This record gives sequence, C-alpha cells and structure tokens, in this order.
Amino acid sequence: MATPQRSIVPSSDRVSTGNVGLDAMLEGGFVPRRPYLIVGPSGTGKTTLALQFLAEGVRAGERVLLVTLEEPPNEARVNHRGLLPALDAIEVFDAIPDIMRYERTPFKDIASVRAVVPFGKVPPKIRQTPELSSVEVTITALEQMLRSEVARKGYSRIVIDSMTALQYFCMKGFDPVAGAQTFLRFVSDLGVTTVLTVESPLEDADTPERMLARGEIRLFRWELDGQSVRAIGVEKFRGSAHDVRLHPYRIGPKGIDINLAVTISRDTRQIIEAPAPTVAPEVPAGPTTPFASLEREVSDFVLVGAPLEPLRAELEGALVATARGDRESAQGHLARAAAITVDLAHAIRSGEGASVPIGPGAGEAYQRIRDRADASRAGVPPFGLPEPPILKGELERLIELIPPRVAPASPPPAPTPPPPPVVPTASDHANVAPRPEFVPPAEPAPEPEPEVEPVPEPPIEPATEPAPEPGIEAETEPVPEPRPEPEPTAAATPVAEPTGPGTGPLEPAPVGASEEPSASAEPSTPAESSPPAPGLEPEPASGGEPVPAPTSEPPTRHQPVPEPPVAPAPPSLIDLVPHVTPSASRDAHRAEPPPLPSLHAPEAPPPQAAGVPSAERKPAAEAGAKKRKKAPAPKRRPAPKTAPAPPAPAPTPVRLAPRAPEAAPRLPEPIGSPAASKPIESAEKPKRRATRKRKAPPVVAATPGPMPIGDLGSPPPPPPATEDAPSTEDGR
Amino acid sequence: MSAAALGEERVATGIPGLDRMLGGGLLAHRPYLVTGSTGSGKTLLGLTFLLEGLRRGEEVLLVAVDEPPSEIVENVRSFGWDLSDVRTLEANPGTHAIKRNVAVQEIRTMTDLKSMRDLSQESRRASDAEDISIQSIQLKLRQQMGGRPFTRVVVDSVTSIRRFAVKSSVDPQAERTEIQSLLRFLSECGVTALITATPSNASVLNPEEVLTRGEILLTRKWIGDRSVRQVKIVRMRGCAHDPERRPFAITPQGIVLG
Repeated sequence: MATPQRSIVPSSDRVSTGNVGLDAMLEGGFVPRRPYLIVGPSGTGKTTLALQFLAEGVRAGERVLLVTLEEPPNEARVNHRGLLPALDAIEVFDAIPDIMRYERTPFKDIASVRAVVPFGKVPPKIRQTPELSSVEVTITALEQMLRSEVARKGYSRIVIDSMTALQYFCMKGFDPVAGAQTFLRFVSDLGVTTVLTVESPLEDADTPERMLARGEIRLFRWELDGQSVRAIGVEKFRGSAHDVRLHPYRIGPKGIDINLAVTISRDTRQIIEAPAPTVAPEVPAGPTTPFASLEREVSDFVLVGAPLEPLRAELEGALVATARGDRESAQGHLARAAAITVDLAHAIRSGEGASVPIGPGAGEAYQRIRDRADASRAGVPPFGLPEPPILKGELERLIELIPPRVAPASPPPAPTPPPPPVVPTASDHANVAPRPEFVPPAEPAPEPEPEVEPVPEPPIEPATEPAPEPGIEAETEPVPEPRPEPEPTAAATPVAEPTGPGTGPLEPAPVGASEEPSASAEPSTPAESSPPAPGLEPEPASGGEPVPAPTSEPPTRHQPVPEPPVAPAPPSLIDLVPHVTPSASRDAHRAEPPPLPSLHAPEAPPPQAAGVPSAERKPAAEAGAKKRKKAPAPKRRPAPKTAPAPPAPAPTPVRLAPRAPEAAPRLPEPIGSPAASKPIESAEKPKRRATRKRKAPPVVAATPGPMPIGDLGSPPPPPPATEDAPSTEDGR
Repeated sequence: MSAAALGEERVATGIPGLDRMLGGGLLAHRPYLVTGSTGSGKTLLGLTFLLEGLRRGEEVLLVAVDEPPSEIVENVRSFGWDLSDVRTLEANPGTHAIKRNVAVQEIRTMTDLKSMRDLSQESRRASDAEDISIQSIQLKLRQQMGGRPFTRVVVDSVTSIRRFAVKSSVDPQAERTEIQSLLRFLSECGVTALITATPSNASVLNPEEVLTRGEILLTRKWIGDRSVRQVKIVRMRGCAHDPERRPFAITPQGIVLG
C-alpha cells in the first residue's frame, strides 16, 4: 500500500480512518493534524464514516470528540449502534440549537450551558429545550468551546457534523463564505486531525471549505435504471499519493464497506473495472439471504443452547401460512422470527438467555452471536419471500435445525440441507468455489485433489477451480501474506473440513453437504471446483452479507458464518482448518461471498489481472490440497440429504453477482436437482468464466454487486492493487 | 425487547408493504420527509399514517397548508375513511394570506427604504412578519401538547409553508432557523412527523432535507396510458432498509404496496 517515497508522511504515521477500504485508498490514512472533508448528499453515510474515524481513535486509546449539529446525539447513538462498544467512549457535544422562543428569553452562550458527554451517557430521549431559556449556537461560541476543550482534554480526533448545518444555523450575521473560511482556518490551527462533513447536493459546487481542506472524500449516490449506486472517491489529498478511482460501497451495520475491487466510471457511472469473478451474468440472485443468515443464526443458537421454542413456533406458523397460501401472514411470522433472533442475540450478549454451551463449537458460536448482536442494526431487514415451494423448503429446513428441546446442537446443524437455489451461477464464481472447497476438503480430504482434477475446467479456467482451493489454503496456511482478514474466513472453512473429512469426499456428510453441497454431493470430483457456490449472492442484507471483503470488515462476518459445531475432526486438524459449519456452507452458497473473496482474489487475477499474483494462488492452492488431505476427518454424519443439495450450491458460486443484497429478493432458484445441475455446471464452468471475462459487468449488477464483491474480494489484494494499479496520483 | 429503551421503537406507517421496506416501520420521535410531485400520493400517505395512529388510540394531527381540511375529508370519502378524529390545524392561507402578501410587499418596500438608515429596526420588523405563521403553528402545537400529546403529526406541505407562511425570501437564514425550530420542537415533543414536500431543485439544499432523518420519494410516470407509481426510500437513518424502487397502487382500500 503505501509507498513511502510517494507520500511525505510514512504510512505508519498516518491516522487510520477506521475504514480499511478508505485507508487503502489514502495509502494508509489521513495525514495527522489536518482538517479533512467528507462531502456528499444527505443519506450517503457521511456521519457513519466520520464516526468510524472516531471509533478507531477510541480503539487506539485516544480521546475523541464529536460536535453534532444535525443529528441529535441520542439518535446518532441508535443509528450507529453497530459501532458499539467503541461508540460509547466517543465524547459528544450537542451543538444543535434549541427550539426557537418567540418570547424574548435570556440569551445564553452555548459554551457556558452545554458540556461534552460520552455517547454512553447520552439519554435515550432527545434533549429538551429548557422552559425558560433557549440556547443559541453561534460559530464564535463554538470555536471558543472547541479551543478550551481541546486544550483541556487533548482530543486527537474531532468530527464536526455537519459543516453545512453550522453554516445554516449558526452563522447568523456572518457572511457564509467568510464564516466557513474562518472556521476552517480555526480548525487547522487547532492542530487536531479533524473531519468535517459537508452536505452537498451538487457534485461540482465549489465552496470555500473545499478549497481550504487538506483532503476531500466524496460520497456519490446515483440512480441508474432504478437502482441506487453508491460510490466513494478521494477528490483531493494533499501530501500523499492516493487512489483516484471511484469505488462502490455499501452501508452496513459496522460502517461503510468499500469494494476496492470494483471501479466505477465518473462519466458513465458504470463499472469499468472489476475482477473477473465478479459478476456472473446469469447468476440468479441465489437463495434469499434472509434464510441463509437465519440458518446461521439458528445453528449458532442451537450450539449455545438458547431457548428456541418461540422461534420454532413462528417458523412453524410461517410454514402453515405458506401451506395456506397466505404470504402476508408467512411474512409476518418470518419477520417475528427474525426479530426473535435479534432479541436472543442481544439477550445472550448481555448474559441472559444463554444456557450451558452444548457440544463443540459452542464457544465460537457464542462469539458469533455476540458479534451479531453488536452488529445488528435497527430492525430486521425486509424479507423478500421466495416462491412458495422454495419458501416451504427453507422453512422446513430451518425448523429442522431446531432441536426438539434437548437435542445437541451440533448434530442439527449438520443436517441442514444446502440451499438449493444456488445452482445456476455456480460457475461464475470462483469465489463461490472456495467455500465449497472448504467444505469438501473436510469430507473428502483425501480426495480433494482428485476433485480438482476432475474438474474439467483446467484448460479454460483452471484458475477457477484451483483458485478456490488456493484461496482457502492461502488463507489458512500458505499465504502468510498480508491478509489477516482472509484468514478468519479460511478458518471458518477449515472447520468444515474437519468435519467432513471422515466422510470422504463424496458425502461428507451432513455438514459438508449443507455447506457445499456441490462439492460434497457430486462431488467427489467437481465438487471442489464448483464449490464456489457461495457466489450466489452474498449480499443480502442479512448479516451474512457477502461481505467478506477482505478489505473491510469481512472478518467479522466470516466468523459468524461458519459453524464450528462439528468439531469432529481431530483437534490438530481443526486448528489448521477453519471450521466450516453446515450453515457456513450454506451461506457460502447463498450469500456469503466473504470467504470466497479471498479465494477469488487469487483466482481472479489470472483471468483478469485483478492484481493478485498468480504465484500466490497456486501455492495456496497447493497448500489447500495438502490440508485437505490432512484434514480428512471422519465424517460426522453421512447425510444423504445433503448430498443432493450440494450440487445445487455449486452452481451458485456466482456470489459475485452484485445484485442487491438488500432486496435479497432475487431469484430463488429452484432447488431441485442438484445432481443434475452439478454435472452440467462443471461442464459449463469453463464457458462461464470465459463469459465473464468478456462481459463487462452490467451496471445494475454493479450497484448491488459491488458491495458484496468489495467485501469479498477487496481485502488482501486490494491494498496493493488499489494503490499501485490505480494510477496513483499525488494529491498535490 | 429492549427496543424502546434503546430508542429503537418503531412506528407503523399503516402501509404494511412500506413498513417492510423500512424493516419494521419508522423510528419513533423523528421527523421524516415525504417528497413527490403533485398527485403522487403524499397526502394520502400522510393520512394513512394518521389513521393508523388513530387505530392505535393515538392522538394525531394534520397541519393542512396545501388543501383545506374540508376538501381533504371529501377527497378521502371514496376510501371510506373517517377523518373525524384527526385533529386539524388549518394553516391554509385563504384570504388572509392574500392580505398578508400585500403586507409583506409593503414591508419589503419599507425595508429597502429603511435599510440604509436603521438596520436594527428594519430587521426586527421583517422578522416579526416572517415569524407569524410558523410561530402560530408552534404555539398551537405547544398548547395541545399540554393535554393529550400528539404522537403523530403530518405537515402538508412544508413547501407551502415556505411559500405562504414564512415570508423569508428576504432572509434564508430565518427560514432555515424557523423550520429547524419547528422540527426540533416536534422531536422534543416525542412526535413522529411526516413532512410532505415537492421535490426541490437539485442545486438548492432545503433545511428540511438536512434536518429530517429520512426521506421517502413517491414518483409517478406514464407508460403508455397507464400510470405507474413507485415508492423509494431515498435515505433512512439508523435502519436497514430496502433501497429499491417499489411499485405501489392507490386502490379503493388506500395505498397498497407490493
């Protein structure tokens, strides 16, 4: 990333923005003690990005200050609860003017009336204007307050949210231009790394603060063909080289996920550069994400022994409603079921509700649940209901996950069948493949290689198949490289392997099946290659999102996905290999691109020059192969059911499909014939890949896709690729 | 659930499909913007929101600036809706406004004359004139809040308020401050508010766009001779939402969304 020579400040001295993707774009982060702008229209995530910056400071043990002029602190806290717990240590100064009193009231200076409090102490209700007086906020009072607070408390990061509101509401009697200039000047003199947000409906409006700031990060939101496209770019960055391209991003619970692997044109607003694996044109939106995430969550709850009766009741209610043809009611039940999982996660996180951990993997499951609880945003994402037959299948599978009451957690998960839908896309995604790989390895450990070979794609896209493996491996062992994040993913996968191994390649059994249906099922051969099913569509809103993106925050998500429960494999194996849980596999199929990303990255490069060195991949692949062999764990359970399922997933690999994660609506693919599908897929895969390369990802896809992709793939490679590849330009 | 404690309380809009897009409803006690051109269904959305509140036994208020309330009652009769329990603050300009318009003209003229001589005098006068409407709305609301407080308020529309009630073309600062004050007032009172507006020029940043916590856009376009209505959540703070455009229809039962 940072090429020290190019920037005046070595990257080690940079101030991290708290956003992995943005740090990469800035070659390490902000240059300390300077003011920066985050500019964009309302609702693009300026505040979120700014809070990530502050939360990073908290994590580094710094004192940080948020001056809010727009969003009341109580609401800001709720809106960004995904950033907890760091959020609570951020000190916030509420500079929002009071309700106007039309009667004459004693004038009070804001600096004398209000004080800075940490977010954690912000009351849940909005601050009430005092009965007898109201506070007027003036820019001079604010400057005074800032100066004294900085001197007294030594803040090292400050965010002014927003500069626009400051100009709008606090500069009565000042010329807005002169006022903005003065304020910016004041901020520079403070000598604190400061971020100011600016609301700007127009992209080319030149304002004084834009000229004075030392750097500007711009957020774009366009609507193309009815789809929203969000992109981020560094418009100006003095004193350092930076990435000048626009990258799509998505706003998630933990902040902004930037997909560095995809570039969007400033003129056409279409994707102009994306990793090969990225989009599988034909890829259907895979299975609905909500189910994938629900499955993961349920599996974890089962492992932890959480009380699931209410959840089961809702699911059964949904099933009954579906059978009746009452979609509205089914939707309601599902929404409640999702709400229950959120509540459960919160309850467990706060120490209630969790019972004695059952079985292996409970520890990890517990951690994932807590992560999810921390990450959960307000509310449950909207559920897009698939067609009745699919819905029914999903529901049945979910219900099956929940043990009657005392059933051991681990077993249940394994059984879960793999998601059906995936099939179509399988070929596309190398990414997808990776996950499958994970799984497969476990089961067939011994045969992994064979599988690979079988995979017919060597000629055309050898990379693809192999890639997956490499990726996996890479993450796991070989690739020591830089990607820490990827590893988590890998880890996840590995677990799966252990589980499966015993079973043998073919039917790795339950877990494996679920995870990588394709791999295990058909397996023996192609499975691995196809595995990628993950490609499907990771995106969906559900926590699972594909996001594995190495770059940003994939790790977390990754973790959640896998379900280690199995733990069957020998410890040693386990350690090496991440655990893949059935649920994980599913995720992979459907929505979880995360793991894949890493894989992807490797693969992608070959085809497209994604920037990943092929060499790495190979090694990784090899490593993976080795691991698999080692891994051969005993199968936990043979799951006939699974076997069929697997095939389907394989196809899905498409994961890249940018689709809209949120909607999750897209296509439910018929699950039905896994076996059949697999063969086909394997045959087709090569072709698909070819297609990919040729085709430029559709814009639309890009929109949704990008995010997922970003998450997935960006990670490791991104930094290098981004910075280097992209013409690095100097800020100056 | 600790939703309420966390400030994550949700408010149903009365349109299940929309609630779904919002991931459960609007976050309570916040102001939201509903934008759309004339005839796109803004008022209807607002009324649905109020009726849902009535159904839940809440106290609701319509601040009618665009259409006289009597006409609104007539208009929704075809839906079979009974608005009799909806409290209404008629801020419709009517003839008063015309008079006031004249008055404003006069003040402006005077402003020009006086600005050279006595700036402080002049600004006080101007602000007196500008304050009247928003001030009266705010005062009326304050009186009401004493008894059974409103939990849902629809202001239809802020565009008209700006046009008729705030004579602030002279001073954009005053307009922003007043609208800021009104929205803050509603929030402090624990009101979940829908503010309707016609889409603004992209180059102008209206205060309500900065101050509201979310925006729902209603659009309508013609395909052949069929009108296609769509709803889109442009932005929504603090809640995972569906960002796509979704079709909706205005049926005899009201707004129906996919």
